[in-house]
Amino acid sequence: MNPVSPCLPNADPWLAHTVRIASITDEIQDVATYRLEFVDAAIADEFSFLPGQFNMLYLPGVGEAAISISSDPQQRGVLDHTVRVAGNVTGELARLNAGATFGLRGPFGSAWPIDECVGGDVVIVTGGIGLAPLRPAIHELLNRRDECGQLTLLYGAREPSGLLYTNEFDDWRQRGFDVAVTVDRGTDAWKGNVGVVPQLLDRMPLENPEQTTVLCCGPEVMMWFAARSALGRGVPAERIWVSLERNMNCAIGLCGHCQFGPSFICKDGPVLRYDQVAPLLRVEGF
Amino acid sequence: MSTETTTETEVFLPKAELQSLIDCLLGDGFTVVGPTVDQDAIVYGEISSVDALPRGWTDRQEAAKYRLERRDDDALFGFVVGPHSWKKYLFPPLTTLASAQKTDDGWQMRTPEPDSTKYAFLGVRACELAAIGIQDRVFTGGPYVDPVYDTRRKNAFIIAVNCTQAAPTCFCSSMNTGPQCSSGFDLALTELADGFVIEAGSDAGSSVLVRLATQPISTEQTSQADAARQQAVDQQTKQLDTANIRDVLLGNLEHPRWQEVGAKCLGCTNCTMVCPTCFCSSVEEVSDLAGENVERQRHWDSCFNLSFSYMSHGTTRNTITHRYRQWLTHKLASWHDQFGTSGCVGCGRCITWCPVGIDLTEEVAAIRGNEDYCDLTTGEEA
Amino acid sequence: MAQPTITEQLAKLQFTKDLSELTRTALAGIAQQRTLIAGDIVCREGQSSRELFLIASGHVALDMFVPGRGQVRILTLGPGEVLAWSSIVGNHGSTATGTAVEETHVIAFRDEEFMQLCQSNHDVGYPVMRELAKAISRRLVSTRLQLLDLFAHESA
Ligand SMILES: Cc1cc2nc3c(=O)[nH]c(=O)nc-3n(C[C@H](O)[C@H](O)[C@H](O)COP(=O)(O)OP(=O)(O)OC[C@H]3O[C@@H](n4cnc5c(N)ncnc54)[C@H](O)[C@@H]3O)c2cc1C
Ligand code: SF4
Ligand code: SF4
Repeated sequence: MNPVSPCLPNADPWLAHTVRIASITDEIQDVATYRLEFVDAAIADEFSFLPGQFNMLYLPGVGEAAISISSDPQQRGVLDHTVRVAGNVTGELARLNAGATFGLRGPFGSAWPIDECVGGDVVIVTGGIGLAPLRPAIHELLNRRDECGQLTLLYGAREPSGLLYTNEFDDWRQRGFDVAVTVDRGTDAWKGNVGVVPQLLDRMPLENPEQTTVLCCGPEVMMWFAARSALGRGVPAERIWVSLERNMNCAIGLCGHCQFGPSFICKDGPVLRYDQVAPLLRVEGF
Repeated sequence: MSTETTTETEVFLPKAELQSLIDCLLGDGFTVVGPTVDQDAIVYGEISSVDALPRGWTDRQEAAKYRLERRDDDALFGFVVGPHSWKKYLFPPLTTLASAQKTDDGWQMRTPEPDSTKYAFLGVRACELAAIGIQDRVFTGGPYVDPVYDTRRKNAFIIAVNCTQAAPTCFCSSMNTGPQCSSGFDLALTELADGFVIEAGSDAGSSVLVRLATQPISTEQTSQADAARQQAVDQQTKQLDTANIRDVLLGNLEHPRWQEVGAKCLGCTNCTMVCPTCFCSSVEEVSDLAGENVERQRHWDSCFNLSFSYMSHGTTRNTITHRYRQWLTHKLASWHDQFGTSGCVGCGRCITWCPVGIDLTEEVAAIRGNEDYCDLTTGEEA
Repeated sequence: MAQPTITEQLAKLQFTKDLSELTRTALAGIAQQRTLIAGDIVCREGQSSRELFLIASGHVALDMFVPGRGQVRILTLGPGEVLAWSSIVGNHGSTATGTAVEETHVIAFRDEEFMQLCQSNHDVGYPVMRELAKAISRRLVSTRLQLLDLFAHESA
């Protein structure tokens, strides 16, 4: 159902491939998008990924961090990662300039179920940096716009300055995505919506809830309430998908860190079906 | 080595000939590892002579207690299991997985040449065969194969030894892993007073066996071996009720018992270090002073460490209660979902080596005390 | 396109869609449609509004006055949501100022008529009060989520 990634053509899953930073785009404070290219052309040719998958970015001497791929899967040769400075690896990455090299292992993990989305309506519910792993899904759905019903993105952040990719929203809207944005705290300049993302879902008209797929990525509490709202509106639990996060060390299911009950977030996830994880989501410390 | 059974035929190996088995394996290029006494415990180490084996020693074990005692005979394998397990050879406590060198063209990534060491394990118990089988699934049965484990495992030659006694901490019968060795070995021994009943479990085993000075087995020796093995069954007192265990544990995540055991547990990680199936690890960067030659080293880690579930925005399991619950529910419940088997083989090591004597079989029994549990798939009371 | 009737709108809006047709008709009987333009004030903090509003389309922002900070926007309400329930639940005056942020269509119920309808006919009153309770509960959950400040770690 949820495919395990096609691993790079590489017998040793511990071997990182050298990548070079082609360009860096500053997004918002402490968040930048790194466009990477493989130094080995053969790898570049082979590399493909599914929306929602992630790579382990490896800065020698510092460590590895799991970072989702944020570019369009159909755009061969373009490999973007949108990274927020959170600690050692991401902090060191932020100090690198275009041209710098480091390592990459991947792609890893499960993908957003695009094939299950097409044919019906899709609601994407996300907040903050959580939009990064969904950007490939937005592209993929727009690539297949004709096959989909209503497409809606509900996106929130703490403040207006925390909203990612705002300069792309108009393009997405033009190509057929409804984009609704909200912030937890307004500012004087903010003319948009104030309130939390699940509230946008509450008030959204869902014409065909049984045919609607909901894709969520953000803080677990947010996803939990978004799912509750969707369920309350008649969306079947099997059509709600969440992307989960746990400490990630190896990304290949061998180190034990990312377990979430029966699932390894790295290989069974990060994208998991809501009904399969719901009972554990609100268990403290699990 | 291959593990398909090629012969069921048992023969007899006189005690004096055990050295020729070791010599044979050394001659074939194996590093022979077996039990030996070190620092008041029977541990596994490299050996080249039967004299290194714990002749005439036995172990006395109970919760939080382990001590060696003299036997009144010269048995070489008259004990059960100690703090070591074979995982330290197949899944070494410290391994270099990859390296990176900084060059003018940027970072160059490498992985090491596969380790060519061939290990022969002498004295692998039934529960340990099962543990190796479980780690096979973990490291080689999924979408990604661990090259370090895989190479070492494929090269390994396994000489099993049937237990002829059980410790009060043993519960392999409950876990269906022993005490009799039934598969997963190249050779299997049952120790009698003057020698061993020996059988091959693979082609590799047979080809070694034919080079040993074995003798046909007598019916008396057969029945002595049967009796010796039966003794290990009869001595087992500890039990773990595995019926429905996955649902019982995962359906009782808020049981008050977790708090109680969490208050007792020190979070010392001993149980995970001695467990032959625990596989958690972390990778660390080890670099030279210039930061231009970096090795990625994997070391054993434990779900009892606070840092194990660290994320920059918060740690998932920040109390010992959470961590003990993670360990036990993983071992006995979610392991089934992940690998189609329990993660416990009933060796009892975690009971013996827990400094405060926490016994997982008692924890399960206490949680079972409340047979009402929530069905995880439906979220309803079962 | 003809303007949908109040009854048609009530059948679609979250606050009223689960009510029986009979109840919706009763509500429609006392409702008035109103169009607001951006900047129109629906209710004012501290003052009685005398009306309960259900948003049919558009958005209304709620602001609270904080001395030294001025008007602080705490929430934006959209289609299907109600506001100015203060006098219905017995508060003295609105707790926030509601301002239309764009052209907004609201369905307004005068407090006395609304209460009269609910009190005189419990078959209408009970389900309506239940929907009001649900709306308040949703608002409470949203407020809690705001309180939790779930994206705090993402802020520099
Ligand atoms: C599947 C997945 C996809 C992700 N996608 C993105 C993304 O697209 N953009 C982005 O900015 N962040 C993403 N993250 C979060 C990102 O992995 C962490 O912010 C990052 O690991 C922090 O590493 P650090 O070394 O800078 O922080 P430190 O605090 O120094 O962390 C040290 C180590 O702890 C582990 N760790 C710390 N935080 C996390 C975490 N949140 N999740 C998993 N492991 C962690 C890592 O192994 C890390 O190297 C993702 C996480 C997961 C699990
Ligand atoms: S959990 Fe304990 S008894 Fe079970 S295999 Fe591990 S160490 Fe042995
Ligand atoms: S159960 Fe015992 S051995 Fe395991 S971490 Fe706790 S105190 Fe240590």
